[in-house]
Amino acid sequence: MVRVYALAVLYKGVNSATVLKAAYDLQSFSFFQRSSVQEFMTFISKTVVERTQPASRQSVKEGEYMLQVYVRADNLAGVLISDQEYPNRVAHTLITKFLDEFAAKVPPNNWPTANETTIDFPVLPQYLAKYQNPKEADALTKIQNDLDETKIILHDTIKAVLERGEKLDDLVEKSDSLTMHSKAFYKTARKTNSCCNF
Amino acid sequence: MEEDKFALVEKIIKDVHNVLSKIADLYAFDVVPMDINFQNKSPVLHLENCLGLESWCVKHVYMYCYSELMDKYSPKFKRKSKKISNIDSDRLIRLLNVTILLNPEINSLWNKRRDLVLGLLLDKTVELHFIRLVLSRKPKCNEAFVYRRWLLETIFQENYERNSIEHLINDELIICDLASDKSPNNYHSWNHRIWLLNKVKTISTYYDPNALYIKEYNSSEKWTSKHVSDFSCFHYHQYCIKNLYNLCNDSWKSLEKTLNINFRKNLVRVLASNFPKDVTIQASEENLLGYSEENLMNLLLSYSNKICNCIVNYVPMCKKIEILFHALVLNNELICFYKYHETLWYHRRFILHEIISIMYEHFGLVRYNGALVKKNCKICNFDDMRQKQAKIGRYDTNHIYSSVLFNVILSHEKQIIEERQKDGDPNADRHEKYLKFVEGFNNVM
Repeated sequence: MVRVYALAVLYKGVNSATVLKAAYDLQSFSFFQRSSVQEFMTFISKTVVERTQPASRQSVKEGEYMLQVYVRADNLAGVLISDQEYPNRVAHTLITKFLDEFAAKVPPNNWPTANETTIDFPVLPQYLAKYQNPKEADALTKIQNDLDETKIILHDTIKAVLERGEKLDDLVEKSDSLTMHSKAFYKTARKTNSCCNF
Repeated sequence: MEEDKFALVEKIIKDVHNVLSKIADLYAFDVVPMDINFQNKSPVLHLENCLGLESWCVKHVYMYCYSELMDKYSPKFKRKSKKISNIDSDRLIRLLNVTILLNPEINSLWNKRRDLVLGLLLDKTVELHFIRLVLSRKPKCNEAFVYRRWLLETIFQENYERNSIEHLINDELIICDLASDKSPNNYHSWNHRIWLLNKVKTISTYYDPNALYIKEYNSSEKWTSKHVSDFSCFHYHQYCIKNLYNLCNDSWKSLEKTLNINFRKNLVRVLASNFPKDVTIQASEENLLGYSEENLMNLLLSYSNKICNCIVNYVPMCKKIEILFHALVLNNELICFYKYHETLWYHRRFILHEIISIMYEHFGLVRYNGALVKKNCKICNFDDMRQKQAKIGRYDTNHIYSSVLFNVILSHEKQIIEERQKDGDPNADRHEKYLKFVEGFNNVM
């Protein structure tokens, strides 16, 4: 079912990525899972951005979800998490659009040192709501319909994005942005193979 | 150890019961993955109108409750009087609540609930809330839907005599929406919706279904435009299209207003861009907009050589064609936007099949064993006894294949097939084969 779960603006720093602003729509997840799902989406966004070259686009499939990532040459990155039916091309056009707006609103010298609380970018949740229907979203971006020449690299699993020898389970364990609750959730969810298969 | 477990599970059952006492406010239940009991507190969570149960206790609770239900409350131990005392029933209800929430697929448990409802020990409205909780975790549980329909049969009966079914219907539609949303291709929830509309049809003396048909068509159109692989919804959408076939004039105007569409304009636009080049159509697009239904149908299909005494009613026929062409245009847009989606192409087959059936119906024919044969009109019972051989001759098939409507459709389909083939869409080839070999147009394509 065509759905967008999250939009995020990140900065790809030298060693790690920081989230500058994010918006989530987790209505479709059961209430008790929402906080863990949100933490995971943040964690995965950061992980994938850290492993994406500047000036490139990727679309990573994982389970029923699709992670669309664009890292600009100036290290500003945008992530859109959707389900698999959301058209890739439309997703990337939208990422370009909100990154352009972000760059216009927030001066670049703030990016390396800022975080979610210091940044003001209220349109992101509005865009999340507007972009739910890709046909309408496509109409909004008709002016920008030629995607810059960078191709979109497709991956079938998140494993493909990780470096050689890296395992997602280890990254989850070591992460300090995931609470114990979420880590436990990840372990049990993996075992029972329920939804939220990151 | 056993006593510990006993005390623990009993406490959990009690906690769940306390939360369920305010069941009208609850709207979701879930099992929360939690390997071990972190803080030695109750695994029953109640936050923001949601009931949760931590997963570490699920195995113990379920085994305990299930074995008690099956041992103590099973029919072979019931005495001849078959009466459940009030104290027993309270215990039974508590056990059933917990067990069914954890595993709603066991029909025996639902049957025990049915017994309680029939014995007036459970309230039907409370039961509807309970089912909603069950569906929030397992939206594809057919047993829950069947039980719901069982309850609704009696509730509807009580209520339409009191003219208060409006809110009942709305509640059911909301439940269907929630279940369909939670789980893609949820055949059971869409089926429940169809059941609901069929039920409304049977009580049409108390409740006018036309407004509902329009509303449902509108919402299913929006849903299918967004969930392009949800074939269960497309099936429901097809049911909604068929419901619109016999709308009266007032409802028709209301439908056009709701969708903000002028069906006739839409149809004429498609016709005009696909009119066969060798036939000179004397009317301009503007004229066609003003044509009466009869004149338009005669233009598209020419005069029927159906030998039958019935008077043809052109108005519903024209309306059907208009709706189907609207669906076709929408399908074009979706196919071009969401490339390579099979479900959209299968829906296209439905639309074309309907249009072609209307065409055959007009000429008094039907497809039988791969050939076109004359159909005996069931309404006026005219039977051409002289025509012993049912298969029709070449003259008659030419008559159909030279009609304007047929040529418009053919040219329209060829166009979209070519367009999608250029884009490398394998469904376009399959669609071409479908038209050639299933609909039988191989000789004319």
